[in-house]
Amino acid sequence: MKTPFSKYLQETAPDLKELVSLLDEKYEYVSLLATDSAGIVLQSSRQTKAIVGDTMMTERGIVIRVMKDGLYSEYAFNDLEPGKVNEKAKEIIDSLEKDLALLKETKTEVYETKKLSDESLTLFVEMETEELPENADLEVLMEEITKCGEEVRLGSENIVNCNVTAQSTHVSKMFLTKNRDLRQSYVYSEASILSMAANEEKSVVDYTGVSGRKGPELFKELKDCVPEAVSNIKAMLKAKRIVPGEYEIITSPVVTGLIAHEAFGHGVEIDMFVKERALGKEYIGKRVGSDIVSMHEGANAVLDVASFAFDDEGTLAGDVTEIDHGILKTGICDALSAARLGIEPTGNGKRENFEHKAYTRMTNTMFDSGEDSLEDMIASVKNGYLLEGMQSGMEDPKHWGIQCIIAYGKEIKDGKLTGETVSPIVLTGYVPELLGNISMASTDRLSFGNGGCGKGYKEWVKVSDGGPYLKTKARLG
Amino acid sequence: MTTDKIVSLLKKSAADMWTVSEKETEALEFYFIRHKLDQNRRRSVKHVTVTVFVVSEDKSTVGSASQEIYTTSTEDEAKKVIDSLLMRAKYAKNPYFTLQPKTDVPVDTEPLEDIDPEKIAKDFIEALSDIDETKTEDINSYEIFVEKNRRRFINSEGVDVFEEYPYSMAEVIINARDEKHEIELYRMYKGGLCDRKYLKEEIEKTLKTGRDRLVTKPLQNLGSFDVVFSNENSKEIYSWYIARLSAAMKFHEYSDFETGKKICEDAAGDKVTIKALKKIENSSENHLFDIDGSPTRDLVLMEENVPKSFYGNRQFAYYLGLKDSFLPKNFEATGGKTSLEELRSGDYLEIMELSDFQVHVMSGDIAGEIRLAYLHKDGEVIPVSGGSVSGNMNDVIKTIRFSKELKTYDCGRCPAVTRLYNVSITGAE
Repeated sequence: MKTPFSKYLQETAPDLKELVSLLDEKYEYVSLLATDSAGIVLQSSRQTKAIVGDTMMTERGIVIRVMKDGLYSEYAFNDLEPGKVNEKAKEIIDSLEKDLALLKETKTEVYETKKLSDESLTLFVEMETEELPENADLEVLMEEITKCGEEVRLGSENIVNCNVTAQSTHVSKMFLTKNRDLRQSYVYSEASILSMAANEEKSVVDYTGVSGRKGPELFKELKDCVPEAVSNIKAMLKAKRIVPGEYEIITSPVVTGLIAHEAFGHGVEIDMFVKERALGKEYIGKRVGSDIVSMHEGANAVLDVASFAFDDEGTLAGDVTEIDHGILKTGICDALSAARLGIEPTGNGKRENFEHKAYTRMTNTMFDSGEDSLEDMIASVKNGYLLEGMQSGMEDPKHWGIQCIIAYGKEIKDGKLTGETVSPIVLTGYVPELLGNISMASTDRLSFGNGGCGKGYKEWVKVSDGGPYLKTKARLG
Repeated sequence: MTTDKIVSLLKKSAADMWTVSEKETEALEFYFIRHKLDQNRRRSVKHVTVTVFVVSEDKSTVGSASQEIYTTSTEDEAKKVIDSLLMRAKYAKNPYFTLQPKTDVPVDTEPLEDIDPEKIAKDFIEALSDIDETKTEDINSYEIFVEKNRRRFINSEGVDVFEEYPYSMAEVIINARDEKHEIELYRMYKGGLCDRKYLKEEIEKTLKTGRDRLVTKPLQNLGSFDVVFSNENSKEIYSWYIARLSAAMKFHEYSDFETGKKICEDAAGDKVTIKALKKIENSSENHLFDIDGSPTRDLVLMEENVPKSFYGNRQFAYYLGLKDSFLPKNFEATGGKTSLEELRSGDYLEIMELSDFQVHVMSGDIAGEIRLAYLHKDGEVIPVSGGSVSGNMNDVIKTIRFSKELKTYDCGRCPAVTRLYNVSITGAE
């Protein structure tokens, strides 16, 4: 079925168009993003259950962007009353004038940016889904996720608790300018199992999940994660501490995704180029990985939680080849950074929600597949680890330093898995070195869209990332 | 749709209990590249979240569901949301608990501060343009966020409380460079109002840190080694204790802390005392009441490694039988008996910058990639970078030592200097 576009936005559109028109008399450029996204979150643990209606992307509100004399300003609000457009336009103008007075008082200079293009375009996209979160049978879904948790708990007597979360969001967004009218609606969902286990020596935590640009029908796939959640917990409980050092490693697709995200996600966000905060700027056209390293980024790069029709600045979705056979080709870009650098935006201007500024943000970041089998990759390792499960990562775009916290590693000696595991693992390294040492890539690839991505320590948005199994070398601690 | 109208709809509904949480924000934001304004933003928003509760006949369970009712919702839409929540609540049943009753002690409804967002924003802009930068150490970019918040909480038991509070934050990116390369340091300063003096001092201190980071040597494998923390990273260590004193963590069996029982039988180091505080000067989290309308106050949670009381919201406090509990936002860790000289004696690594320092609240695992540290070894002090620190809090608490001198970081106050013994240091090469 088609995901229906918001009735509220349809009904409000004439007022919003009038608002754009009124502001257009005062400013050189005016755009408006209006959102109306509903959702559900179900949580089940052994002791408690919860149903709430707020996911990371549920919202209803409006953000206006205007430009005058090279300065872009924004005003976000969520109280537009029907028939009171003139009052709202006055409120916006008066508020922004107060800002200008403050800036004048503090003798603040403006980083002037040219006017964004406003080519005529109309788009109305209602993407496919099987179910809508607002129509889902929550009684059945709660029973299903509760059963998943119970099965995980039965998998090991050491499991202290297991928290299962399932959430689905019906997104509707409308972007308006004098010449543009873009409207889209879609559903994305995700579900995860957070398990905690303990023995006399330690406590361990595992996080396993599914995601997709699908409706709540996705939650049925969570039961397939139960065996993995149990085996991960068992592996971590019996794991030893790793002897720090450099090892040959094989990254599982979820770890591959983490590296993609931290290494060449943040590192080539072009708003960081404008601020001269990213080393990637110096490396365009240069080698940053081995021949078998290719990477794509974009809402169209794969179908997952960050697959949309247009971004929060009205740029159509893209699929950028960031790295082609080891050579860094380009980065990803929001509209204002593109205007500053004289390049085209790539459909990566995203906001946490209507209240937040748009930055260059990742969507779906994927390493391309290779030609090797996982068996051959393991057989080629003399002394190393197959890394499974991710906990978190952090980038340093200025120096291409990378830190990934990995759940556990399966030991490989002389081409064979020994059955020994180590946990937890902190992978650190220099990105071009890590990617330069990639010598094998498997034929299959997977994407993962659980969790969120911040810029610095804020501005959380949905992203997905992934790729195939990769073989490289890294420092593990 | 006004909050009072929503309350009136809830009173007429089939909900056995309900809560309404309203937050209205007037915000100013300024984004700078170097010292030129990249963008200015204003926000004027109001959010109203409703929770309905359905109690079983035998009062053994309470089902609940919550959702925001938008300010632009019509009365029909709001009624539909409430009806839908009543249905959803039947599928999310939990052991019985009660809501915050109307207390005899009135919650102070006077504003805590005189909040003028434009004045606060002006203070930030002026403070950040008044930093002593040099040709080799300067500010790359910064973002200023200032909010005036009005918060109201109403429930079916007669609670109706209101407060105003400021929130401000500055994210600052610092560069330092020499002929060969340039480095970057990230800082996020949160608080209530703008503390111009503190901001200037901290940023100028960070510029010096940047200078030192340019001359670092790669960190060698140190194996098991002592580390010292003397900045905001310390807060992460004490967050582990605070998390394990949470009623929700205890109820879900993620915490093995027990009231009246030492958290570590063979602790040879300093013993930690944790307090929840109603107010910390210029904290962004000075609240009169918590998310459930429960009044906040000062409360000793742990004394010298012995938990005295867990803390939690109404639901989990009820389950644990906690009287007059609440969900605090300001915390203090004290109890240090070791002198600053002793903490910084012998061989140790004083870690200043990490890419992302984490102490996992459940597993206790400590992890972070080192961007700048001072290696104190054999009487020498060498700035180093690269490699990582790892360990586990369950081991650390046996020997941790820290100063009695304290330092405040927004809503957290903790020892100024903390030493962890025998954690694992992996080298950069």
